[in-house]
Amino acid sequence: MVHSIIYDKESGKAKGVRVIDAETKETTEYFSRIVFLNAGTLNSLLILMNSTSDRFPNGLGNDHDVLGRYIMDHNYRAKVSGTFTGLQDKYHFGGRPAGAYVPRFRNVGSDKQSFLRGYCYGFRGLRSSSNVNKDTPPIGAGLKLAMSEPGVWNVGLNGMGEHLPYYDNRMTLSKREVDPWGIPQVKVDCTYRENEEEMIKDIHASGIEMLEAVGCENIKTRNTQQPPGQAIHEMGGAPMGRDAKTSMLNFRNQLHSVSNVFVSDGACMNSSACQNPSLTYMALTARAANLAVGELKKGNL
Amino acid sequence: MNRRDALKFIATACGGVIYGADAFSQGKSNDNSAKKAFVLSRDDYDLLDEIAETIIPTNPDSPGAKAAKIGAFMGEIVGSYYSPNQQKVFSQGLVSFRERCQKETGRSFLDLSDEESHAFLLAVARAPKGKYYSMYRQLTLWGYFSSEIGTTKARRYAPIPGRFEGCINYKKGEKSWS
Repeated sequence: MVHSIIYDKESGKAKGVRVIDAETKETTEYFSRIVFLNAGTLNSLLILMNSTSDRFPNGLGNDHDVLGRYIMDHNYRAKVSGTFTGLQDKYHFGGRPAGAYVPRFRNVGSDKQSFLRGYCYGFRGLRSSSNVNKDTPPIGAGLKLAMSEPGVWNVGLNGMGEHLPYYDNRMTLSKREVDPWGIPQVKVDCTYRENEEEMIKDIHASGIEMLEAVGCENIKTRNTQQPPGQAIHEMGGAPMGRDAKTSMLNFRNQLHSVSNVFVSDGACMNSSACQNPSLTYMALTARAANLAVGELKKGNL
Repeated sequence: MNRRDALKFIATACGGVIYGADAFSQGKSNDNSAKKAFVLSRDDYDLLDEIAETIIPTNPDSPGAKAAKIGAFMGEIVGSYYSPNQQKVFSQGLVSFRERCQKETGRSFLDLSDEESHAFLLAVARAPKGKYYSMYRQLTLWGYFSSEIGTTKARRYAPIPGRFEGCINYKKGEKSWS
């Protein structure tokens, strides 16, 4: 496993990585002209923070204490559900009729809300696999029949909202606790705040409005209160930006202050938006790799 | 279907708490000593099979709970995922059930005809004394509708991945997807 990136004072560049063998705990150094650090958001931040030198005592490329700040996840805590008794002469093939998607419509164009940014909805509707109701016999052939025929439609909406970048939502390294390989433990201090709570109110209200409009019943809302991390879209902490004083990476996903180190996983994100992020990371990585090769060929790296 | 989804429809059908569901859906089974401490006799398994068969009987289109070995399923789930107190309720319930059957029918449950066992269990369902009956019932539905017989014969089975048809015509009498 990678312990850290090796910084070379003479050239002002990274010269390779320091790796620990997971079984023997032996340290090996590997050298290269460029380094792409894509370990997954928190692990990429961990490796940067653990890459200390006289030049970078607070982590590689961290001249300003931005590293590890503005970490985000998605605001996936709001859910709305209901039942629909109509369309009893319709069904879907198999157990998963797939879902629908409602793209972001809040704070778009002339729409103005009490919260910033927006959310989209993941929407699913499928018929219950049993048709049990108050008249169903508690045992026997009648129960078996009711358990074997489709019932009402269950409809569910999941709000998929943006989590704003906050300066003090951050990841740091423990000064005392280390893992069995001597690597400092990660500490995460990250919360959802007023803006995310306001957004949840609107996700619930708009969801109720939509389900009522199509004639759903038993409409319920829920706030799962899940903490950041549970949406598994953690990102940020080494943001891209034009200004080297306030960001870690430039438009090539290149560390401002160590030009042959690139970070193009979730750590580079400035905002979480409300979309699933993996394709964005892949596109950023493809672009960064292309730009890195171009720079290498020009002799700039 | 994951463990949590598998239990959702049972919760809907049973309208209440599913014993052992939290431990089961989190994959937290009892340790080996606790599993070994929970023992059922051959007679217990026969009785559980018969109770389950009365709840979900064989009909022309599909075998019932006995063929799906629901007695053995109950033993496995109760041994692995019920708390010691719930295990006690489950086991003592078998004693109470036998006594009640003797008292109300004059015979043991296994000696009753299909009609008689249905009538007796219906009486228990309408006026259960103790929590054990709801355990037997929910374990029967849970086990049967996740068994091969339940998923392929009682309901319709569509392997995943399958074709996508989000809206097809449905005629009353057609089975639901398992």
